Amino acid sequence: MKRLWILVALCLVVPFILIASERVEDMVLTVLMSPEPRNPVHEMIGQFAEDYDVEVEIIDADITTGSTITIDTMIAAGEPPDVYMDYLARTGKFITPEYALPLNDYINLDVYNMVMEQQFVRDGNLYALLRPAGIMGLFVNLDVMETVGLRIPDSYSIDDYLAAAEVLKQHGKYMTCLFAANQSGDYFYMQYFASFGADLFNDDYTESLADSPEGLATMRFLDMLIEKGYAPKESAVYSDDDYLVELFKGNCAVGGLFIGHLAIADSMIEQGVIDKLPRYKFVSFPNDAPAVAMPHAVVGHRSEDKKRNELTAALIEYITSRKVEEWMVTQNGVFPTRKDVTVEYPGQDWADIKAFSSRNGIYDLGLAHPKFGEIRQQMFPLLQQMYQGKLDPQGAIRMYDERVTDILK
Amino acid sequence: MKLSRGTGGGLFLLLPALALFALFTVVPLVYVVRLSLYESNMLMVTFRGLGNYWRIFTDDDFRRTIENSLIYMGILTAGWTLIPLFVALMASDLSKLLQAYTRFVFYIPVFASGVIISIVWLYIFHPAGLANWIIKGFGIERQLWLGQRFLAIGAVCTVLIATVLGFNVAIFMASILSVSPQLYDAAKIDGASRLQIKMRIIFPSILPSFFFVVLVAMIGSLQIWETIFVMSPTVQSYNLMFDVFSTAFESGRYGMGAAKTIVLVIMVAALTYGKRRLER
Repeated sequence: MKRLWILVALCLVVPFILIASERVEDMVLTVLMSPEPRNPVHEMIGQFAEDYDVEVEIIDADITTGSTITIDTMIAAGEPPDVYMDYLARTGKFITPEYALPLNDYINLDVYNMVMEQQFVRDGNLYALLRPAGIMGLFVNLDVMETVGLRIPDSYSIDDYLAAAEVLKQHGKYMTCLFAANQSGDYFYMQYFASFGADLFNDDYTESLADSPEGLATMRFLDMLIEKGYAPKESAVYSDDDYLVELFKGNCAVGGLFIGHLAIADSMIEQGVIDKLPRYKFVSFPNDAPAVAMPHAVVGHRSEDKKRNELTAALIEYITSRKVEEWMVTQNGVFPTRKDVTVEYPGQDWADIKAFSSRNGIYDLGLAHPKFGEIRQQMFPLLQQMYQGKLDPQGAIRMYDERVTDILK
Repeated sequence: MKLSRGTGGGLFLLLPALALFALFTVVPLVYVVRLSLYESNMLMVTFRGLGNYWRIFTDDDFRRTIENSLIYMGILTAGWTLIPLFVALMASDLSKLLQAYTRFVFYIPVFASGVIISIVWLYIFHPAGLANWIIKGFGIERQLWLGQRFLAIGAVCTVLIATVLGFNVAIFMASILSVSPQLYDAAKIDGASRLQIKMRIIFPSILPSFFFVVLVAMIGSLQIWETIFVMSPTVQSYNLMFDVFSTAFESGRYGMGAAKTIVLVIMVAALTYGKRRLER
């Protein structure tokens, strides 16, 4: 029995000794990003690994829930990624002095435009870089519009929009599609707040301003679209996937869209959901609304290891290199963030988007706020009830305002 | 307490299982209890004491979530126990071959991935899906099955009952097979009808299995998640488990999610305790 206990003790102790005696591994940098097939960013990461003789591991972020679950798990495990790049709504949480690497200490920032990046400056330090940002426009299905004899001008009012909606309704078509199944794609309808001139936050993001006459007008507008049959009554249970299908099928004449989303139509054609992409153009949202941008940010993790920080910063330079940016600009129709990128997306739709966004400006959805992930969970449950007539617009915007202010406190 | 000679050896043999239990159950539970006392998004951590618990118990949405969990428990427990029991009792009159066939047919959905089944049912309950096509044939206006609280709960329960009942059919059929044939013979001699045999002989004999299935069903109903995740019904129909997921992993409020988890653990523990008391 005594020998047995000695054996058990050895079995428990020896593995720990072996683990502790392992030699320190060579440094491996990790990059957490959502999958981007065909993007030369992979090639540039490989180039970095070769130039600096460092191994780089790319980890795919799970964005199926639209949350930061992958990086949160890595942080909880004590292994935060050295570089995290994702939609700003998710990376905003990590652009803080406590987590992020101050890039101005390591990178020559003269090559970047540094326009939107100002929001990432804290105490004089820059904690993230932007990747080229898509700008949303109102996708107008010209085939549907011309069938009913309508034309949407480049500049038009909400009344013009509603008048067109009535004409479309008479012809059995919806003006637009709405959805509220979850928070994914919420920017498609949050853009309407810009049309009514509603500010969502105060200057220092400590309070929600959504419950304003303009905010209420927006909610009444969305409610009216459902009530009057200008948008499907099933919107409460539609997701953004349903929205895109209805939009490309031509059941809805207009809807918010980014140029990058047009690639989804190819997938729908392959699957037989639609025969072809309809003829379209992009215009601004009603009332010459400022446009919504969908930037992605690149954040480095600040480590205790000085050498690691230098390598992380260098890796970020490769990720935001001219080659990568030129590809993104020409493929996705996005605004470059580098001064040396002069190419443009070769299509009229980008020229249209660029024109009205330059004219009208960019609308602040609060994407860069660290708690944006939590904020965007608040609207869709209220819309679900409002679209089914269980909550009036005034109650919905008041509850949204209260909940967002509570989060911001 | 003086241990008998065999106890030391027994404890030694239990050691690996205890170690795994400690590592994967006790340690995480202690961590979750600790996390529930903080507000945390994995980057910023603030001590709140019982503040998270105060917030959730004064929140109407959380009260609704608890109500929903109890509704799911009621419907699913009934669906996962009474229907399989009925099927098993009816099948007990069949030949061995037909019993095996019945067991196999009902068990097929259990093999399938819950996610895939949920996706299929999502299309059935879609506004333009099969369910609305069927009711349209009866002149009923099409419904937002996943958009209204109780319809959504019903839709989710339909999926889960259809998917899981085969497992319990197998359990009940196995229990029925273990009932001594002599009891049947004695009952028949006494002139008992088939129904009386089922209700007075078979059912009391399989009562331990029945209680086990009821307890597992009740606990399982509190833990449903993937069907709700895939079908994305209205927020009004969320149960406590999904609320934990949504709070922690979608909103990034891990401390609050941990507090809700502790509430869930207490509910499950209470159920288990209640079941043991009932059995006595």
